[in-house]
Amino acid sequence: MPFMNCNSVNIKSSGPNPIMQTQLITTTIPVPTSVNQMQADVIAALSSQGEPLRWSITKVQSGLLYIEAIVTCDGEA
Amino acid sequence: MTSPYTVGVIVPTGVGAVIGGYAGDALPVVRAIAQVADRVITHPNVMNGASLYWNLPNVLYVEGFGIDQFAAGAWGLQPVRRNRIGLLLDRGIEAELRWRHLQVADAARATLGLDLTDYVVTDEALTVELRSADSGATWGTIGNPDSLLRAAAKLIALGATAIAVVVRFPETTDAAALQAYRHGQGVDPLAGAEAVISHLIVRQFRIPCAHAPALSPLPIDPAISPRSAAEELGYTFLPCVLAGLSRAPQFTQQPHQGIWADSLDALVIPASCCGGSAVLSLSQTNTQIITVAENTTRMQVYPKDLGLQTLSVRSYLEAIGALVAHRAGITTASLAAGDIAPLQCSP
Repeated sequence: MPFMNCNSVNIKSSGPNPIMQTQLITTTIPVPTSVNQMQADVIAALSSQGEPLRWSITKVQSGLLYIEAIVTCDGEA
Repeated sequence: MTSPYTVGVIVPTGVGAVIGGYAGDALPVVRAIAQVADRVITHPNVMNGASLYWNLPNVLYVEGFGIDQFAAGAWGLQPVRRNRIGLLLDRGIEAELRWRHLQVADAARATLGLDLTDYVVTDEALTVELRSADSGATWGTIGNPDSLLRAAAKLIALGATAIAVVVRFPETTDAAALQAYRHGQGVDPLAGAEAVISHLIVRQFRIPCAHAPALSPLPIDPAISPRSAAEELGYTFLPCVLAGLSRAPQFTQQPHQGIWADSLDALVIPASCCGGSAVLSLSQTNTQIITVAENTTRMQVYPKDLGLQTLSVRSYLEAIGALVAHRAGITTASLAAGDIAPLQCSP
């Protein structure tokens, strides 16, 4: 059985600008009146800061949803 | 005839779950549930025990971003007999550590008969930064996500149908947190960043993916917790990832192919973790959500906080009983002590 080989073709950058960045975001939003609306509201709040990649509501307190998330966004090379 | 009884099991990554927050220590839960379900859908954090893993033919190994898409009804799961795995290595991994991982991959080919493409090294070091948020959950950011995605694209071009990623993680600078984790307390300092890496690839390419961190071996510690001990066994955490990915289902957007959320009968989660995407999606469906109280986490989002209708149980043992009753079509109230209220005439 031959050893695994490293593919030798260089991987070129897709372009000089923009480059993707990952950012940790924490935010709060009011608790929606309907649970049906909750996920859409969270995503809308995060989308103002980037494309949501992974998120969670971490607590509910005083009428607010506390949210932590990683979003991706375009930055400068 | 009824459709295959299908159960989802989620223990979110990096939230300090007392069961499943360490090194594959929710695997016994899935092994037990797999005995009472026809199919179980779960994610790498539950199944991965570094050098330890367990082959369960009726368990579908699905990365977390894919689980969220599945729960939302956006993606289906198409079981496969095997995947061809592409191994993606971070350029930031030192030569000796890279060899350790390559030898695991070659060993998996020789001993398990797994199918791998040639490997790819990223064109830049990926530069992971570990983060901890106010909740106590761990997260992470990646310095060069484009480099990660370019390498994944290369593997797919080589024929990979699943991607195993190994990224050099920083040696944890918080010695107290690391010691707590190794002793079975606290939050896995790496887990949140690991999820970000695999989410990036699954989101971009809709392909099965899982991650193993590359780290220098730690000094021997006789007080290691059994829950964390799986990560002390070898030089890498890669074996479980390769085993899991070898049969991980593919994602489909063809409505009449594969398994879709409308066939998920039940979902088992820690009671404090109701604030994730998959739970919110499934709360709007016929899936029975079962919340387990004793699997505490750093999250503080309980069903009552969001107005979710769930079945609350104390332990995973009780959850397994609830699944058996649910599968049999028996209301849990019929199994409890005490009077059953007489039916009333509805106004």
